[in-house]
Amino acid sequence: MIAIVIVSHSRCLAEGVREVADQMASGQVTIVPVGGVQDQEGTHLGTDPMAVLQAIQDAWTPDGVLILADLGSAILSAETALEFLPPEQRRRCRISNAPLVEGAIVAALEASLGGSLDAVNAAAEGTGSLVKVARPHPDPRGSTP
Amino acid sequence: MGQQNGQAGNGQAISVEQIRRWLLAYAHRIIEQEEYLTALDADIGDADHGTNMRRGLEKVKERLEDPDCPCNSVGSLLRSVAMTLISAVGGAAGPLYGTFFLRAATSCNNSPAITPAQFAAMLRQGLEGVKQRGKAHLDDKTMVDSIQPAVEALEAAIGQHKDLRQALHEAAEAARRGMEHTAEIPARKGRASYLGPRSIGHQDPGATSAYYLFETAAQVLATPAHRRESPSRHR
Amino acid sequence: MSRPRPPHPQPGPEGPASCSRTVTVQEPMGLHLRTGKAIVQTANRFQARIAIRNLDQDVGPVDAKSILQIMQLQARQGHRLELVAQGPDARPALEALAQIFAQPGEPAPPS
Ligand SMILES: Nc1ncnc2c1ncn2[C@@H]1O[C@H](COP(=O)(O)OP(=O)(O)OP(=O)(O)O)[C@@H](O)[C@H]1O
Ligand SMILES: [Mg+2]
Repeated sequence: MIAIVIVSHSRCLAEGVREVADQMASGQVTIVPVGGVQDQEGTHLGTDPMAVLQAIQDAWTPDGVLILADLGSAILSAETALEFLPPEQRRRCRISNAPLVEGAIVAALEASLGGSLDAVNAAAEGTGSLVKVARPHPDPRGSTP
Repeated sequence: MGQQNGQAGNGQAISVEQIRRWLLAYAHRIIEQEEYLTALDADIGDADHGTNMRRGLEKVKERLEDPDCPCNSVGSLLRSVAMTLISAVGGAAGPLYGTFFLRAATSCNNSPAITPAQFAAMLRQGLEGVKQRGKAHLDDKTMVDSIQPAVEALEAAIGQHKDLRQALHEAAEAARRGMEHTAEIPARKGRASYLGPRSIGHQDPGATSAYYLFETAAQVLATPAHRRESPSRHR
Repeated sequence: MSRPRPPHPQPGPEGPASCSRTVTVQEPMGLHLRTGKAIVQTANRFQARIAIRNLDQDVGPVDAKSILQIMQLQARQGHRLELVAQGPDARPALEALAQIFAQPGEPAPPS
């Protein structure tokens, strides 16, 4: 079963996404959240490639690790993290183009059902074109919602 | 490689100690310009470039001032700076500058000093690393817009056997023009790209912090370093 | 490891192993993600290919074994969903899926 890493600028956001994704996977999938940067003054919004690397290693399974990230430096950090992995591990990681929340929810369920790394990623990325708010739809039968 | 003699008529080798001083000067410059960089980022980004860079460069400064800092080769010094930036910066600039120094480090082996031509080659590798990492090209309104013209100017000047001081001066001038040019174009990469044409009229924060790299190089590297002042640095 | 995703069975006269059933979404907020999860998990227990069509939105057929496709159904309260299953265990599969749509405490609607 593949594992999932959630990368966000905010640690809280990453943990929240893990929470909703976990519910879909009934706790069967390893989901590791990572986010924020730390200095003497505390934790700030941002991403730390080395922390992402650690999260990938914590999540590691030979079936593969799917990385879902929010934006900008989260992607750059994930890419940088992969450079520090041995090539045979790197080959079993994917950085997904999926929207973070929807992607994580779908990926978690698909992963729990035993989907392969690429199949789970494809399903997660498919959420990018999901209709969330149904636009008024001409209904020949005239039924009302 | 490992040879220390300059070539191409400019005859000056750049020692690891000079590189250390350059990066220290860069760290000071960034820390001093924190507010300005953040203000530039407030216009077209999320107002954290100065904070991010200051956080990273403070760690770099600590590292460079540490007597245990790996100062026996240019490569290990740059690698140490790269790793510090990668884990301390926090924004897009972290992986980008980190990759810049990491690629630069791999290009210069274990030499305790490098020729100006090797210095230019090292920066070229760094530039290619940034472009690859950020998938950015010239005129995308990023740090590439000051690094690329600077590297090209440096390569050209060294190719024409100009002396190091002149070559570095031309590189810094090219970086400055590149930085200023970012105010005239829309952003196509990074957070500022969400603003599209509204980013015109604002200078890119990353191009500005990258300009300081060449500005300080021209100030520090053109003058040969006297010997290490601190014997504890000897390893 | 990848689960096979066969083409959707189409409603209509098929082999003897094909059957269909229409259910109605009862949930006030429409087809909830948790229900979607139950559908996908249940559907994946069976060999049969199972397709769902939203008769009221004219969406589908989609694969009942894929959460992404179920989310695309735009199923709201009162919408009628047609389930079509094909395969050796098509009948028990529809039986099990219909249970999910039954109101809590109520028996599954008859086919
Ligand atoms: N893809 C890219 N390629 C090259 N340079 C980039 C890229 N994205 C951003 N930059 C540079 O980084 C600078 C912004 O750095 P900063 O540290 O503020 O990161 P950020 O954009 O706030 O990161 P985050 O994605 O975490 O919000 C920009 O001004 C630009 O020069
Ligand atoms: Mg910023």
